[in-house]
Amino acid sequence: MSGELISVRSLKKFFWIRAGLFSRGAKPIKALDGLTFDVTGGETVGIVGESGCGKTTLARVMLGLEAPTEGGVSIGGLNPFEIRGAERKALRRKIGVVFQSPQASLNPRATILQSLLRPLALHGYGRDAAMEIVEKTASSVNLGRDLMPRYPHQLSGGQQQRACIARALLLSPEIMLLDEPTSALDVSVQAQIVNVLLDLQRDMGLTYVFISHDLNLVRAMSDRIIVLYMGRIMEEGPAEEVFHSPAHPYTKALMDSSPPLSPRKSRAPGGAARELIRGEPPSLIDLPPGCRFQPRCPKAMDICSQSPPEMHPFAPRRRASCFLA
Amino acid sequence: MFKNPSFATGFAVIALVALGAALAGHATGYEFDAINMSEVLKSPSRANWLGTDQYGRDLFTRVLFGARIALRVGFIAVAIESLIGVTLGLISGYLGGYVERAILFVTDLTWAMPPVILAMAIVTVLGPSVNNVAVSIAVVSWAQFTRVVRAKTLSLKELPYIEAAESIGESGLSILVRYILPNVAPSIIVLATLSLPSAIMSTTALGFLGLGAQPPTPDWGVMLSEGISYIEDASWLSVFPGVAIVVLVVGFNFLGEGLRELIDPRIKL
Repeated sequence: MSGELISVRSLKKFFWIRAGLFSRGAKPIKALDGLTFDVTGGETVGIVGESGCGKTTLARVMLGLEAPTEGGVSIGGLNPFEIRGAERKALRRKIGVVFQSPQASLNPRATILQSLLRPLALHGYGRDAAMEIVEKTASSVNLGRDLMPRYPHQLSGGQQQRACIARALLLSPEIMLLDEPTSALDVSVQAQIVNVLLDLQRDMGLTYVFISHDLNLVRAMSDRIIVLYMGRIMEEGPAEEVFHSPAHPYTKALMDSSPPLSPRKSRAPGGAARELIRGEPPSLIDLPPGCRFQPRCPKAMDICSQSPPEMHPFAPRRRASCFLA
Repeated sequence: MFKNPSFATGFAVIALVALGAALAGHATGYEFDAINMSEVLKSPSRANWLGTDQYGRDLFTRVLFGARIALRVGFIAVAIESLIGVTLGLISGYLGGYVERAILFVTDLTWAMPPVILAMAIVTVLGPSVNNVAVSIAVVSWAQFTRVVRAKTLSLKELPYIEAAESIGESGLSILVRYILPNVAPSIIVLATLSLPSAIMSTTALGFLGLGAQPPTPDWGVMLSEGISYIEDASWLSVFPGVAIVVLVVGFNFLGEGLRELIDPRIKL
């Protein structure tokens, strides 16, 4: 497993709902149900899926904010849940994180400068060294000096998000975990943020884990795509290939449901007629038997409701969990 | 700020009372405990603006000195109760689990007791004095702070900036003090201002019952209870301390309401 910066092995994360003091036999919510994938240094992996598929839970586990129920994550060979002290601190420096809502990601009672100096202070930098790093990082994301003494609410959404990106970059991480970094922003500002992110990656050789439900954006940003559905990986492969010839019916349905960039293009990227997903995602507590997409799948067969399809490679660098692939 | 009518009214009233309390020793030319048996129970006049009491002491001087006691006890009580309440609120909201349950249990316990009765019990144990009154009021009324701060902490700790802080390795204490406390502070300030009038009311209630300040201290509650005996002949003895209590309490209520509107009209207490 050398060369892998992040490796996730049969990762499971269940949440137990407590109905009350005397409730028995609580059933778990299976937010993540056995994920296995790797991320190589320098690449951008896009993680896509609809709401509730486990994207954010995955991010929280990778950050070490939530302990996995089973399986594990290793980042640069270190498992965030097995280490303490100095190693833990070193691991924290390896991952920077940017969240969806920039306004809520900054302490409203701290100036931008205070928010940026804090991570450096925590990791033992002196005031002068910290100031230098803050200035360098801020200019790398085009965050003007005049914004430093301001409070978050005095900044625009784009400025706030660049401040968040700067904060994530301060400790020179190898990995940037981007949890829907643009979905709270206007389209014009999205483009600006995407450009900042692409420039940073080119200049610093960062590895991006890009979580989003905006398929066009993921396609533009990612080298590789992982499609999640109800806590499982449905399909994995190089971005362009997955977009051109989706192997899993869910991937195809997901792409068909994303609005076309041009209103005249009423056809799906593959050229076939658009086919929208029917129904609602099932409950994460009572999952359907067999394949979890089977109740909504246009191509469901008998076998699909009998046993879950295993994740298997079907072409170079591509994997899918579908009997048809 | 002064365009807000509640705040402006409250501020003016409190400023006036505070000024009166500050000048109490010099403004009137009388001492609050100067007995003058030849001027007993005089009605309000040019020499004694609010009249004199049964020992011939100038009532205006005594009411002004009373403001000192009311303000002092109010501030001490609110300082203690906010210290206890905010600390427990932050801890219970942030940690959750058994700690939270234990704290909530104690909070509910103090809610369940009638506050003045409980305060009476505590003062009886500690012995009647102005400072003990402040302590007993704090002990019975910190729960409100815990409730508000805990609720606010619960909603704040789910926000991404707290997660971001955790992911860079902030300790729990540091998250409470640096990230949560500053964001709960506006609610605490408003709640503290609105708690002052009830603390002052309790002070005078305990004074009235003889458990607070002892004569000849010019506590408004003490003055009220002494005046009751002369209510038919010298009603000013009880009317003016009563008016003073009303003015101060209403003033703080206006001030608190105004602060709430100015800081954040959505604050729920």
